[in-house]
Amino acid sequence: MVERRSITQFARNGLADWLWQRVSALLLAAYTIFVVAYVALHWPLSYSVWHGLFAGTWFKVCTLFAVLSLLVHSWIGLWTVMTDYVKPYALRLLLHVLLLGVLLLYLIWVCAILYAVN
Amino acid sequence: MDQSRPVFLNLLQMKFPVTAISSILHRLSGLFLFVFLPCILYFWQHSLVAGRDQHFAYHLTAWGHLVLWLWLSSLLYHLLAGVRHMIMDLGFAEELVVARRVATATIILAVLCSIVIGIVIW
Repeated sequence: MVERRSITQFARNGLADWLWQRVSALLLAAYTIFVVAYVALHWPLSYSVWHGLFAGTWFKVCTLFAVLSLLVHSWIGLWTVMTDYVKPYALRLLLHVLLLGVLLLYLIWVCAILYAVN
Repeated sequence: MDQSRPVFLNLLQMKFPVTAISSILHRLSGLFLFVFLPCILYFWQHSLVAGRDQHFAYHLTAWGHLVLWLWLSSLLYHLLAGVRHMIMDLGFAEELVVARRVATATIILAVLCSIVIGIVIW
């Protein structure tokens, strides 16, 4: 579709990035609103209620789904910010690679946290 | 391109419309959310440790409360400004007067809700 394209942006073109950003935003908003509503409805929150939320398999699945959405959303957002402000190519590429590493570490960390909840 | 053209980048001397403030706050809140995400993951992890029988926020230090409050407020602002983005994607609120009102409303709403969040956390 284009002759030269960035190898670090998330999707094949800016329009696809735009769509992924909105989709991931809606998913993250849905997850956030759910958690806020759950906490509000069970206020004052006890440990067993909070722990019980994350003990269910279904909610663990939703949480990981939200984390994957967060990875996509923050990659696109931070890629945009770095492309705006970090002009030297080598430095920006290094930052992109570090960003990717950090995001993947968060994913694994969340998996580890959820695995420990029973 | 003529490299000797004058450049004016003194942010402190520029006058910014409310829509510009709303937009940069969206970017800044996104950055803040990313930078402090590991703190929040750490709090979340420790809130699920077995044996705690109280509201997990009781175990946070004063700095922990501050970080949590700022993070949740940033999240709320980022979410509301994101909704504003998508309203504009749909074609609404693109005219000047309406856009300014929507931007102001977003900021005011976020400030009010962040006060609520602060009360709830403490």
